[in-house]
Amino acid sequence: MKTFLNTALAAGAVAVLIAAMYFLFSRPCREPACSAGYDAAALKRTDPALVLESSLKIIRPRMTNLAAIAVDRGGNIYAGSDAGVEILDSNGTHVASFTAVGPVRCLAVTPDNLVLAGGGDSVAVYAGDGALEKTFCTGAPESMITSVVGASNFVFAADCARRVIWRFDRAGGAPLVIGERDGDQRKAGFVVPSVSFDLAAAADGSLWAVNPGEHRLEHFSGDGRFISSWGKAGLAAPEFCGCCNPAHIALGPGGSFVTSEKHIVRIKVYDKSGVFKGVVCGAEDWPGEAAAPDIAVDPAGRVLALDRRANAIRIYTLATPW
Amino acid sequence: MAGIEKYGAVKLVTRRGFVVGALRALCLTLLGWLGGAAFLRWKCLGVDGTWACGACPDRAACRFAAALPSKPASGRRMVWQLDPKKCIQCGGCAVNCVRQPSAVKCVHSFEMCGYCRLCFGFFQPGAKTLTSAAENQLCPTGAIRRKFIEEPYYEYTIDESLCIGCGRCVKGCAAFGNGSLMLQVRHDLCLNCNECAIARRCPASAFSLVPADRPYLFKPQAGKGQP
Repeated sequence: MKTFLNTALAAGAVAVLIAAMYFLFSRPCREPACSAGYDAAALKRTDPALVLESSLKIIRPRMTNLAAIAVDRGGNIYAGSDAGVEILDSNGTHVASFTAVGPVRCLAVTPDNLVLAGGGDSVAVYAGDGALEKTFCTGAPESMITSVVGASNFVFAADCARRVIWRFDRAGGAPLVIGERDGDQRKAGFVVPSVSFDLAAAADGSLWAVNPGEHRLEHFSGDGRFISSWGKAGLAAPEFCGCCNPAHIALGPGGSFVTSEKHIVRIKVYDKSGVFKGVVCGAEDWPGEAAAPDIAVDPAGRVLALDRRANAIRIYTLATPW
Repeated sequence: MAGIEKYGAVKLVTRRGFVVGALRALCLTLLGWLGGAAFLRWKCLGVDGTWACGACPDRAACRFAAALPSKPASGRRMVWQLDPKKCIQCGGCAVNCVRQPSAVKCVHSFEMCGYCRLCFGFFQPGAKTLTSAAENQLCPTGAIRRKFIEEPYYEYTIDESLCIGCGRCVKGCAAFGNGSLMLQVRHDLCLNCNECAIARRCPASAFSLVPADRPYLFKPQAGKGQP
């Protein structure tokens, strides 16, 4: 009888110990409390009716820490990283790679196949085989080049820190500043709240630039004269939301636009007048991602998007012709 | 010998009996300790969810408040702080703090701010007009002040006397902006409870003790890790 009581007491003590440990040390609430009444996730959902039908192919460059992509007129794909530039053919097969003089933050290929790699306050110009030809430097302190494009006569570089566009001639001289805020504030200049400031060169030599804080794209002539703009701030799919969108742009066949946005990560297509045509991919396709993917459009009309997390390039082939 | 045993002067204890007695004493001690701890917890949870001895109606009115600040064995004073990188802006800081309004406030890192006209920490999503009208504001207490600097830039400052730490503005700024708004425990308000009532309920485990000489945790600046 005594042994039975002792056993029962010990068993009871152990049971109470387990229950008490659970009661004492378990957290009362492991689930998120009711949100603060602001469902950001709901705002990120894409209306399926707006999604353009497309097929997806993923290619994986050998280089890591990719930061930028570009496409040349032959459809070859260029991927820039901290280490250099890798060149792949249109199917994603490795062709060549070369080391850059510094980390590549933005990338472009000129019509005559020179590779422009921007980073810091300079743009390095490489021949197709990777030989460094020249370097363009803004010469301005605190410059931060976030985008570079090469037109037939000029090289344009977007400087997010100084909030201007630099135009160089092909020799790297005669720098011209475009979009500078003037002293009497009649021109507000570019509003660049973050490091998102992108450019695209049109076939006619003119320039399209994002004014991210104003949520619009602005058109400039080659000599820096403002021509027009389009774009509107808002949460709806045709509009640009967030503090600074679109983060990246590319020009498609016929002058249509492809835009890439951050926060609500989505890639959208607009016609040459800025009329919304549809969404290539929405935030659902970029789970956990907040940064906008760099984009490019190849001569076949495929939309290329850089997936930094996966160190891959997604290639969307739209079913509908441009 | 028989007489001695009769009066109990010498009582022989077997080894088995000693072990059983020790086990019994241990169980009773454990039961007492656990019962007491469970009682205190139940009692303290009954007082607006706070940890206390049960004697106080309110943790803030604790008569032994001097004993509350956490002092680790090393002697270096530690204070509670939340990590903005882990914070999910659930709204718990506004309701779980023993101080009301909460000791957690929104703070603004001006180095990261874009001074945007359309600030998603200030405006309701889909606001019809970009004015400071109450219906456009995201903050339920109007704690954010919007001041025109120059076209098209605006400065946003926090009136901490109105801020309740709900994190709505932080959620908007993090979701659509540079993330310059963030929640922080203000140490001039915090009682630095031994077990922080918010930390105990934080679903993101964003709260931790940090050295009192480095009491704030901020996110990296834009361009240094921010998208």
